[in-house]
Amino acid sequence: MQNLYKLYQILHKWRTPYLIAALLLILSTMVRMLEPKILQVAIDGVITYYQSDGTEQPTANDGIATWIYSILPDITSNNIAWVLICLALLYIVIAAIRGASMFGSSAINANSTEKAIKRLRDNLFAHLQKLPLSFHSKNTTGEIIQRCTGDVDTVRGFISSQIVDIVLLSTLFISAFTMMAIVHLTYALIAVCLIPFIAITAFLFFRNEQKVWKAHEAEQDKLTSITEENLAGIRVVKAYAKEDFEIDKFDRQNKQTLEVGIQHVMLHAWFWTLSDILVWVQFSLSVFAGGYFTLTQQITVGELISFYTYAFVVTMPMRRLAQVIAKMGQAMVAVDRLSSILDEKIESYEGEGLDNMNTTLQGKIEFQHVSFRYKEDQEYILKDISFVVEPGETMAMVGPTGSGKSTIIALLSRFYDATEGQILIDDKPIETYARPYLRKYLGVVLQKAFLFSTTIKNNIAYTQQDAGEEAVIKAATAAHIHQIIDIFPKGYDTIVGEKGVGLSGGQQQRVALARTLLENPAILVLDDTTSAVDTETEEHIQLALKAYMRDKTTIIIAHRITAVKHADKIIVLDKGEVVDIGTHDELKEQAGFYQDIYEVQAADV
Amino acid sequence: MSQLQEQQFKDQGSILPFLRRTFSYAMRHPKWFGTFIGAVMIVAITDALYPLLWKYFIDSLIMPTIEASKASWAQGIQPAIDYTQIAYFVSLFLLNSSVQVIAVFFFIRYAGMIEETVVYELRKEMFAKLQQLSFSYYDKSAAGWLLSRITSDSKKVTQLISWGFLDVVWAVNMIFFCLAFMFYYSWKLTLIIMISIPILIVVAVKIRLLILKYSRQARKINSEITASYSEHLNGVQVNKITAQEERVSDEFRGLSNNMRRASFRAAFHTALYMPLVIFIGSLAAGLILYFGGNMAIATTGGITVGTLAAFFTYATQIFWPILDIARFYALAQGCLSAGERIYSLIDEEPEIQNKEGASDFKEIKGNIEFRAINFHYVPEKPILQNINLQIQSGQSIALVGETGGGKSTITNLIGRFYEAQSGQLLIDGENIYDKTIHSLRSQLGVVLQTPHLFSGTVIDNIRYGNQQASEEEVITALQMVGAGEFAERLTEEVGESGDKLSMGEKQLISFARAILTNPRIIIMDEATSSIDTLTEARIQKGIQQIIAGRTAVIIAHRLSTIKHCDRILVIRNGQIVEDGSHQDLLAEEGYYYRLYTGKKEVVIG
Repeated sequence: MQNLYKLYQILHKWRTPYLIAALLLILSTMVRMLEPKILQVAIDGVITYYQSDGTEQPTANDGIATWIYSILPDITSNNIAWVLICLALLYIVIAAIRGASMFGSSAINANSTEKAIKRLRDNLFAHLQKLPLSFHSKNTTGEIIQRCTGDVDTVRGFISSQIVDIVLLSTLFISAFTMMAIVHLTYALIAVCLIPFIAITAFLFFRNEQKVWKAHEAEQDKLTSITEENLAGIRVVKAYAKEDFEIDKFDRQNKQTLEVGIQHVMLHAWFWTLSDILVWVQFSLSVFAGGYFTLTQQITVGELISFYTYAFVVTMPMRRLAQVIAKMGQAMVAVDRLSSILDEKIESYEGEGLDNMNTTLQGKIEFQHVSFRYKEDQEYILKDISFVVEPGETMAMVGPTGSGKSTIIALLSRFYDATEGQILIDDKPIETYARPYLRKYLGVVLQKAFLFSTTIKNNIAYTQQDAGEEAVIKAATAAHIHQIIDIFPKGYDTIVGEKGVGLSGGQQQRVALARTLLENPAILVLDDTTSAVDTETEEHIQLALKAYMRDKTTIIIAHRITAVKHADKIIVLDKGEVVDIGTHDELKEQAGFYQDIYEVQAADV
Repeated sequence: MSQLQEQQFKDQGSILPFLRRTFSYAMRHPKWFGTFIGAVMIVAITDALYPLLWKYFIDSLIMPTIEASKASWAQGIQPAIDYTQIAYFVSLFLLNSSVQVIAVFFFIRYAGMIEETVVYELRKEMFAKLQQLSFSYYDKSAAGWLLSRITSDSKKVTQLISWGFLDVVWAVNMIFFCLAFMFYYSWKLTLIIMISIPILIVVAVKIRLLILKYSRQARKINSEITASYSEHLNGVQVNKITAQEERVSDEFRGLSNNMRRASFRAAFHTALYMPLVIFIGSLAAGLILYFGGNMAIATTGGITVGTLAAFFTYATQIFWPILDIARFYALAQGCLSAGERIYSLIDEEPEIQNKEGASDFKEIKGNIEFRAINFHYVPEKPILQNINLQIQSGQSIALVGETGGGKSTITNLIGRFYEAQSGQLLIDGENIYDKTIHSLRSQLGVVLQTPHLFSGTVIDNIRYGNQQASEEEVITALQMVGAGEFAERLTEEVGESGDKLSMGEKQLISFARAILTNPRIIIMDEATSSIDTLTEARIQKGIQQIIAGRTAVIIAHRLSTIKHCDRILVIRNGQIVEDGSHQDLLAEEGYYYRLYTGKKEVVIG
């Protein structure tokens, strides 16, 4: 119920068009009910009259038949043609009204639904962009995408066809039953007596079906991941000549999928057979009763014939209704999952003191006894970290993987807030600054370079869409990537494939570096930026960066001594604690982590 | 540079060869296919019989009995009703439905079996082909595109020959039998209904194709939307750090609006479809009402009331089978490109295959010889030019040089992952192109830059190339590569593609995996560049162990990895420019010297 309310919230902006669509749908169904009546009138009134040479007057036992007679010209012995033409025209007009209202209803519904879905999609996207990093690290991308595409589609399907079906089928049932009941109540009741059973079997079936379907999907997912893994590792497969092994592995799963698939098919075969039996038994009952009532003069031949159509209209769709209800469950799950995203709290984009918005950051960074852990019951990732970086200074951080280097950057970027202690930027608490403002002055080159699948130029100018060619080339040159881009046939207009296919890891890192350099931030953070770059290139980059970093506060994380040795200050981290602070010359003389790696890397030569 | 390009498949390919080939898969199961078609035909005939039975009921029972009873009714007496008569018709009705219900069971069962089995077969064929194809094929095709052929394209195409074809068989038979029955009773009225058929077909197909066109557009935009989600979720950290959340959300809104427009257009035409078809049907029904009404009244050459009712039903129901035919046509059009994608994969000839009469390598000693080898990926860009090279069994060779110079190509040629365009490649004096691929690769160990693991346990992965290895052997292999601590973690699950392990851990396992097959020749392509310096220092010893007594070809950025090799080859622009031991090359004062001393200067400074 709560989910229905949430669905309503998504749709309520378009409630008037939806209401109109529903009314048109009901209108079309009601008009449709008149169609069999026309045939009934033709048979009972017109044909009977003329066949009996006018001895049997047309009879009307219900309001609708009476209404139809009243529209028709008076039936006399010499106007057969005219009466029939009027009947045929009336039939066509009714069909036209039915068609037009059906079309209107669907078109209005589609228009509103597409708008509502667009808004839902937009909200999801914008919301996801604003959700904190902790959300993104908890949820896998694939899962979120599945929700934003698959679940959105399920909701769309629910609004555009299932809700329509519910309205349509219930109107159909009510009006067809009413049409029969006003002529002959007992007959009407007999004509629908098995429908509850048909509906219940169908409902039970579709609930069961969903289980088998899920099992089927699960098997297919397994098949997909086997294939995915195989394709990703095809070079390993070939190198070990394990093609047959892989084919066997795939085949086993493929067979498994086939088996569940056939189970699913058999379930369907049995259900449709069973429900068809019920439908036809119901139908035979109607025929029997109809014959009896006609022969006992309780209904006319024309009414018998129109009942045939009504009974048909009432029985067949009831199987679909069950499917709709079963699908409603799916849609509710989808709504639930979508709202679980939308209900997540986004990062605040406001600062606590707005007065500094127009000033430029100088770039002084100070950590005062900062400790951090993700959750209260978890261990500390950073413990009592303190350091100061003056504007224009370069500080390097070294330490083994997991020592907390990247976490310091995450705190500095305000992806997380310190659990204890305080971070000051230009001597003001970091919370004073609104996130976009802070991040504008912060240029972070991430450890794992991420490029967007657009041109290299757009990637470099990602934050400065209006940057000129010259500026882009300048940044690329500083990142030592210009020469490589230059030899691509399309140069800066080369499109980087999804996740940067086509560029090597080192090249991607350098493009990402160029992107940050172009931003011209006050604080530059290089998080193991040149790890995938060969030593020779790394040197070139360092030379180019040296000039660039002169007036900027810089934080460097690196594994290679060559990358950190020129820093004004090097802090050595281990298990979330600062174990050493000093310059290259000081640290290499002290026993410890720094000396260890220094020696390993010096032994390199 | 990216060579990836999705092959363009025309949508307007010829549909007949595609259908023929697709149906040949169904024909592999002649019993199923035959039963399926037979059952569908029975369903169609029984469907066509219902209005006829109804007609008989009215004309042979109801009307005569009413006529006969009129006299009694006039006197206010209800004559006895002949229940056996009614029961006779009802049982005819039930008989017809029983036959139909059984046929329904069989057609669902066999359509489903054909669907599931053909999907199974197509997937099996495609996957087996993928295992055979050479690296050059994978250079051209992105894994995602290949994956979707196996998962979704195969499903789509088989739906066409199962449920899609079901519609057509039913529809054609239904139309045929309905027309035949109608002709028997009144050819004039049948002609009237027949006029509507071509109009219905044209309208239905036209609108169907429009719907197809717009939904294709929508699907295309939808994949852009998915890509956009994927990109901006994977890159959310970049967006946050550069404060671009608003801008990308705005961009997404534009895309989302395109999607709305395309979806609405498809939905609009769908909304138009049924009303238009129903309206055309009602025109036919109107004509039947007029002419049939006249004929029912006429004393000579007339029709009975039951016939009129039956024709009326036929006129209003005949559009259903036509819609089914239109749906099949649109479905076939929609599947065409999926079919082409599947068949082009199945028909792809692997570039590298065993030659006729190829013999197995016996135990390889490990002498490798390149004789005047030329190689290029694309003719315009020669990679290797006239390479002559001899490697003695047990020698370790390092390849040094710039990216793109041809180092990896040399190792790829040794593994016969690519074949040289000219020249000879001999192992132990025998031309490898005259030998079987399997016997070569099974004696080869390859460690790649990015280690790829398969989901499963640690031990499964190490045993990948040698399933028979005992646990002790696995542990020995681990200890050899300096990863003894994994001995405790053998049964640990590594997750999909080994995601639960760090890059360094994955690489250690891939080392152990390579060593467990006890290969005669080992190739390491940048095997250490993805691990940090400390781990590398640990592996270093392992590497010495691994290459001892084997022919080894090593590519590495870090000179520390390679300086102990027996020979170092400098590859530049597809040629070997320097060849000798570390000492030799230093004495030569060439490229290697510059590389080495350049680094030295930076490190020790």
